[in-house]
Amino acid sequence: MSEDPNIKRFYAIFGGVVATLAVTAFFLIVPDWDRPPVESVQTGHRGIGMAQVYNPRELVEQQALNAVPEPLPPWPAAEAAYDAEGGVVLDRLEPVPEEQKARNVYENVQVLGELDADQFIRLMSAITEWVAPEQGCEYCHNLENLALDEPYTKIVSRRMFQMTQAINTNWGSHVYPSGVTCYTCHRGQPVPQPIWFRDGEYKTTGIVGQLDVNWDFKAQNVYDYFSEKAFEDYLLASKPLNVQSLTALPTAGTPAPAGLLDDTQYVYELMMQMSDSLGVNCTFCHNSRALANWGQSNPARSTAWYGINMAAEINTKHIEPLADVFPPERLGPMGDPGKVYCKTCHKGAWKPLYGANMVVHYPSLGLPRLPLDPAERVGAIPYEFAPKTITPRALEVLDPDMAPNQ
Amino acid sequence: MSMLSFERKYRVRGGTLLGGDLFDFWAGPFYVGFFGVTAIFCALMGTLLIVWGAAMGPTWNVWQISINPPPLEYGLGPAPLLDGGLWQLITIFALGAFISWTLREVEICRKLGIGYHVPIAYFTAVIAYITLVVIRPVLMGAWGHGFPYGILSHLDWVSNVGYQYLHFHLNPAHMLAVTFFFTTTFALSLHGGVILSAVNPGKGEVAKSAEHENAYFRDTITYSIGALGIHRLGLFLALNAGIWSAICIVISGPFWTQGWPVWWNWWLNLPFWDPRGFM
Repeated sequence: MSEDPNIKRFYAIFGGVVATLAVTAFFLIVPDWDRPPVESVQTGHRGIGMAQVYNPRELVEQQALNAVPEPLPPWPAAEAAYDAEGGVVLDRLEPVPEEQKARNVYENVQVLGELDADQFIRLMSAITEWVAPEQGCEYCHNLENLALDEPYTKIVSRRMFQMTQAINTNWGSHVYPSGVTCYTCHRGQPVPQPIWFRDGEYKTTGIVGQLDVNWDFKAQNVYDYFSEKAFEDYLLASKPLNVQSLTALPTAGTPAPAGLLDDTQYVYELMMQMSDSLGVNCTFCHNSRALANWGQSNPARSTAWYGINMAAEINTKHIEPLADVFPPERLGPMGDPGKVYCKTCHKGAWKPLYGANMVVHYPSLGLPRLPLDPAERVGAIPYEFAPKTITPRALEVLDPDMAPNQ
Repeated sequence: MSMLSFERKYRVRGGTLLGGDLFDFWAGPFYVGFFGVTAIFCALMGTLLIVWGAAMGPTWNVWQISINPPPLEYGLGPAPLLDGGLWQLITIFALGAFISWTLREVEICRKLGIGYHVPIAYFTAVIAYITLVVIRPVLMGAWGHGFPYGILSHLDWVSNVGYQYLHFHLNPAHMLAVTFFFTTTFALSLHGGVILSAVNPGKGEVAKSAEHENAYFRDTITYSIGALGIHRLGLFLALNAGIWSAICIVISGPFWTQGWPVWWNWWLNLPFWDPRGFM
């Protein structure tokens, strides 16, 4: 009876259908699919597939995380100078009289001493809101004597003021026009997130030179498998990124020495984290027919290139020197302070806070300029601001403040 | 024109879907039919519009001529002729030509009294085209997501759309489509090889039979699917290549907006083999 070929045939077909349905159901239900409608933004010439694709429901969630805090009311001397629109009109401010300057009113004001004392207090109030809203003044001050250089956070915050001023003054190539404030990274947290630490000594397994550090069994995201080697190489050591071979074989004419497979992998990892940090895909900056070619890339690519250099300067000039200042619990396994990468400021948005200009209300943090003179720029890559290829419809989604109808 | 022995059967009246007897005739060896007329008309119009678009500049270099879809900002509306409207017209004529050709094949099947395997197979390729220029753009809300009609430009589109999702090789449906494409060529090369060998015997040998072919595959790869089976398998593999191609592009964007590497997070998050449970 069981030899009846029809019965066998029935079970084979029935089993096949059930198995197919089960596999289909699994792949429909388990992965975290999106659904239409989706929002898309053109970032290149029409028709060549350069576009950003967003799930608008995720954008709404992200928008809530990027709400901009209201600026504090202006300090008394500036209030009179506010124009009818409520904009800051700094150039009409009288020079601060010597006896009103913060360094003469308060003790031990090393960086912000030239400010009006009222302006100084206003900035202190703002930074409390931005960095330590729960802990208050005592997070960075000894309340017995505010002028003391303790706790350690006071020394750190002084260096961070210098860093913020340096970013706004020197890195217009990356941060113009919105500039940065403490809030750009901190968002109400004393330690900004995310940050990165050195992984430790990198050893290879001997299996085609693969690093022995990537086996993270707790990974919940494919990015968790990335080592921090890419950050060490490019956001600290400023190694050249041009690993793409210009010849069929990576021999003569290859810009990077030897065109190492490892280097290529780390550049890829750096690019992947950049894509993740900004919530954009490769075609935001590159035309993939010639990824390395600046002439075929979007203007956003040069902004990003300056950003890589800026992050490296922040890490080497402003954060690494603080290694001795931080207590051990703030340091990574290799004894280094937490360092920045793209996501520390961008937090998943193509511009931090969608390009909202906060620094205009706190001009003592430095006002960014568009560096038109090539001599003022770091590097020698043709620089052009304004991503012209972003359409008005896209701006409504990505950057409501910059949309032309407002 | 001389008639081949089987052509009498081919030239059967009737079986038309549209037009009745009006177009039920042959031009030389070619059946005309209503859909033959519409196919020729649409193909000619589409081709001439491409030539007209090329004449609008900027190049006559055949590699660089490109008829691009509209900018995304036009959404699903009509676009000015030289800003993507031409692409929209050419797409309409292309759809007209491809669907006409499918229906002409259906009419021929009806005349011959055979199954619809050929029009179904052809329409699978047409479905992949429809997915690229109609279904996916509609799901994403803009005709601008269609691909440009140009020899090199459509390759740029393929590359950039791949990079929209960071690493397209990690698209699971793309994996299946690629596998089916390779397998279908592999199967065809095995089958073609054995047939050519069987019917081209060496000097002094006789042509080999189907049983010889079966024995050859049983010896070399332990199994022969048989003379009829290989054609069923070939059809299955080829159609799946086209179907999974269509699926792999229609899920990229409408149903997955991030990079394909990240899609695989579901694997890391499956509870029942999470090593954290054992550590």
